[in-house]
Amino acid sequence: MAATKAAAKPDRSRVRVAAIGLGLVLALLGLGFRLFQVQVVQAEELAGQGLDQRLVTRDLAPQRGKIYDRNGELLAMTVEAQSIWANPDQVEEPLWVAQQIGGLLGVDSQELLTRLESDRDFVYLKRQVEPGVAEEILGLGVRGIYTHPEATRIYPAGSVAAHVTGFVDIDGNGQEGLEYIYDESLRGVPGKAVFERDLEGRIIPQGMTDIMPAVPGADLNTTIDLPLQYQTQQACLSALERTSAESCWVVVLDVETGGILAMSGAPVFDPQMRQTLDANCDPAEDPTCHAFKNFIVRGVYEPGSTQKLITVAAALEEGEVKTGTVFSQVADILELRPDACRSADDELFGCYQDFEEHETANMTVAEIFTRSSNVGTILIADTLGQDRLVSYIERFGLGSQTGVDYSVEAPGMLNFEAGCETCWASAAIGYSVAATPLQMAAAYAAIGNDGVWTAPHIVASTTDVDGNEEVAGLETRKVVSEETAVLMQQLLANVVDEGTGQAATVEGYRVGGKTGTANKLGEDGRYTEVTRASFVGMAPMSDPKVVVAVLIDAPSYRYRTGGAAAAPVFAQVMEQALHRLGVSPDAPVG
Amino acid sequence: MAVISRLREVAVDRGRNRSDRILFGTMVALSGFGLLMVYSATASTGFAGMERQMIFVAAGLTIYAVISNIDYRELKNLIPIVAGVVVLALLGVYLFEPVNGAQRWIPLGFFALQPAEFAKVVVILLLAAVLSPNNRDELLTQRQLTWPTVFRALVIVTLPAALILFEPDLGTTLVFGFILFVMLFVAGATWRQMLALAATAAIGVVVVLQQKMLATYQLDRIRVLFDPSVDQGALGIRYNIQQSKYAVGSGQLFGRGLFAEGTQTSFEYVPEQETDFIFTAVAEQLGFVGGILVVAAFAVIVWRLLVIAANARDRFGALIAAGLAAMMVFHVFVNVGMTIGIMPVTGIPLPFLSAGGSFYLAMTISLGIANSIWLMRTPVPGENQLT
Repeated sequence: MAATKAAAKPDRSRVRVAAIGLGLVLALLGLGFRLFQVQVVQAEELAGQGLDQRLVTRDLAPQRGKIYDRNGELLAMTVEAQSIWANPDQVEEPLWVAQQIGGLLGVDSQELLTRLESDRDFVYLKRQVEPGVAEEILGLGVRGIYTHPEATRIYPAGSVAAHVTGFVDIDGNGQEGLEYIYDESLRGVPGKAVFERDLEGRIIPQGMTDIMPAVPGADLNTTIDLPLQYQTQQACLSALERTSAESCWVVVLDVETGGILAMSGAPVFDPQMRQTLDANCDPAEDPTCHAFKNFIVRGVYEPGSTQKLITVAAALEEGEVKTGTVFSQVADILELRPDACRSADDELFGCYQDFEEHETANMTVAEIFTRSSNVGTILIADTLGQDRLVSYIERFGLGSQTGVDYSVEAPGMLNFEAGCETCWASAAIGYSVAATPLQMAAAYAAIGNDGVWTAPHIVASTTDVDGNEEVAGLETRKVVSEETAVLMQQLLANVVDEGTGQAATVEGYRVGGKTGTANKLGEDGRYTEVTRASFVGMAPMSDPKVVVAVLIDAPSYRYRTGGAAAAPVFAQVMEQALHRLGVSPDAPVG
Repeated sequence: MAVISRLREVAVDRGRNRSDRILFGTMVALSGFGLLMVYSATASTGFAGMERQMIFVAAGLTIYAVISNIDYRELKNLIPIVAGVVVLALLGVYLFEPVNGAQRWIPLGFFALQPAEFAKVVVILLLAAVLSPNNRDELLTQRQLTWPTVFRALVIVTLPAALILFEPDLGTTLVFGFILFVMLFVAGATWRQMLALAATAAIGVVVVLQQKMLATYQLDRIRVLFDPSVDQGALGIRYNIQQSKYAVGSGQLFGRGLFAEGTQTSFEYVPEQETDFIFTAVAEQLGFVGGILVVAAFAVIVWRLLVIAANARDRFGALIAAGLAAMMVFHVFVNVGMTIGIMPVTGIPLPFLSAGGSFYLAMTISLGIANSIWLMRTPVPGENQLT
């Protein structure tokens, strides 16, 4: 019976199996269709997204260029250091750890503890420590403390060349000085590595990689003479001690090339320690702050009597006077505006006095310059008139940047407001103008260089990674004739031989120079008793090779003049400079 | 002696029937391919994964041969014992520490036994036994399933499914539902009975949701398929799906080549790449062509199982084969589906390819039983054909 039924009607069970089969096969077909969508239709997009997430680009840091002095001594270089970091999550006993490694790192343990207890999973404990220190710390075996290599900038000469090199921040970006102005050349070109990495961040060897190596930065070959730089700094440091001044700045120029042989100051700073310092720091909060703000290129001051070089040279060049021209009845006080000298307060406007009282007398131009007579110099300037005087001041480079390769050079300032009747007189004796010590040094170097002004510079050439040397060009201009320059050289020599600059004498050499003593402006805009004492001069006078400019800011009253405070520093530095350059003595023996 | 005489009887029953060579060949091909993929997927971390799997494959094929030669009808007698052992084992997993938040395994030293994988096969046997007529009278008198039978089937499935749900292993639980549905259908359930089953399932889902028996992550895995706002976290659920899709998509038409050319799968972007996500390795390294061939191979197995079901000598055999086909398709569909973002991510492995002992052995046992059904298909003269 069962058999007949089965024959009459297809077995229901088989039909159902077939139905199920159809359903299951449809399911698999659907799967195949979806697979086609993902692997063929959307494949490109998905593959791209997958690759994107596996690809990482890492910058390859280029090696920063080195900075050398003129003899090939290293002033700045980059070495590998270790940076110590922690994953606070993994650190089990932050207090204990902070105390343990605080001492080793020289970081306050309270400060460390704060970082170790932060919520982040990466905190630096200290960056760029010496490899030995890093080893010692890892040797403690503390969980959650790690190191990674990081390049750090070091300055083998320490603070000696700090005012030349400037410094970089913790990330190696130039912040000051050569490091700043040559940052692009020194930095080099970062390379790039593109590679696929796995989830743990490891490189996948079979993945695609694309590496563009970094190009190391160029080396700087400077005109600095490191031993002289050291002597200069020592001279400044002892000057601070002797005169109780706030700061001392010295720049030494090679007369012929304009190369800066030394540029230093005191107080000093360690360029390595300034890495974290804000270049715009407030000196009121950080007393050493102004130490790295190189006053030689960035500080402006009223040059005072050193300015008279320009005034007299201009009058000689214009033929208005000769060195022997006599000005009759030169008093020690000059009233350019009626009653200006009656009011004790009103010194600034129209009343000019010589530094020391003297009897009214007839004086030659030479005498006026040697004795640094303010009244006499104004009388000389009067022969020129304001326009010609100003044009010479500008020609000598005041009021505009010298173009030195150092960060943030100040242009200085010439103050000739319309209607200012006495400004020319002030300018003639170094007031009412503001110049940098470097501008004054360059102006004197122009006289020393027979009337040719040369732009001062620090870097003589750069050497790129392939050894190609690029030599910096010299920028020069004629400011006065050779005759005038030679006359001025003689006048400068007189100042040292018999005038206000006798303390600048260097044994064995004939030296010329000029003192300057300018009262500082107080906060109320009036001149105070506090001075800036300066001395700018050159040697040997037979054929000047070196110019040294010294500026001493706010020496004690006893040393308030350029002759007392700055001239001895000048003598000390000049002697070293002449020796370093191997210049033959030119003074008559005895 | 008894065993030998039994085998002789079986030999007589088989007559001149030969093994299902297509089924066997496909199984061996998939197993070999699985070894290759496990090796390729784990090449960057060592060979241990493949060496272990080779042992499972050898053991599995041996068991396949043994079970093929046992008359599947003998299994009816063994069912109560085996079912008892499996239930005990399912309870046993709770004695051990959770692994990755789940208690699914019984550590046996060499490998971790996963009772749920064997439970699937046992439940299929149990259901087949319950749903097939016990004797000639039943066959003749009951043209369709009785309500009590349907109810018993439901109970049989619910007990292990519930135990597994709490491991938790939502995916495996759902396999049972699907198997029950397919087997009831093949067993001749009326539409009314099927509807009642569907209603029961719906009520079950509501109860599970109401009682918050599912963890948030389980719900999220389902919601993420429809709701883009779910889990945008860096290493969350969406991340897995996304990585898996990148891998499958990266394969494009012909794949990126074997052995670590698939940088997406080989380097740990895709999790569980040698087990649950093995298909991503196939798809990335061998492309759409490789992927569709694997799916086609499973289609062949399903086809063979359905042929076996249609030709089985009795309803018991037919139901077993149909249940196995349902299980196979569910695994393939859910496993492959999750790698391409159409199915939720659950711990459903891919038969023969995913590394893992319990599941591989359960699969070879399944096909061994199927082959046995095939070998026994011709009725011995004088015996009633119960199909």
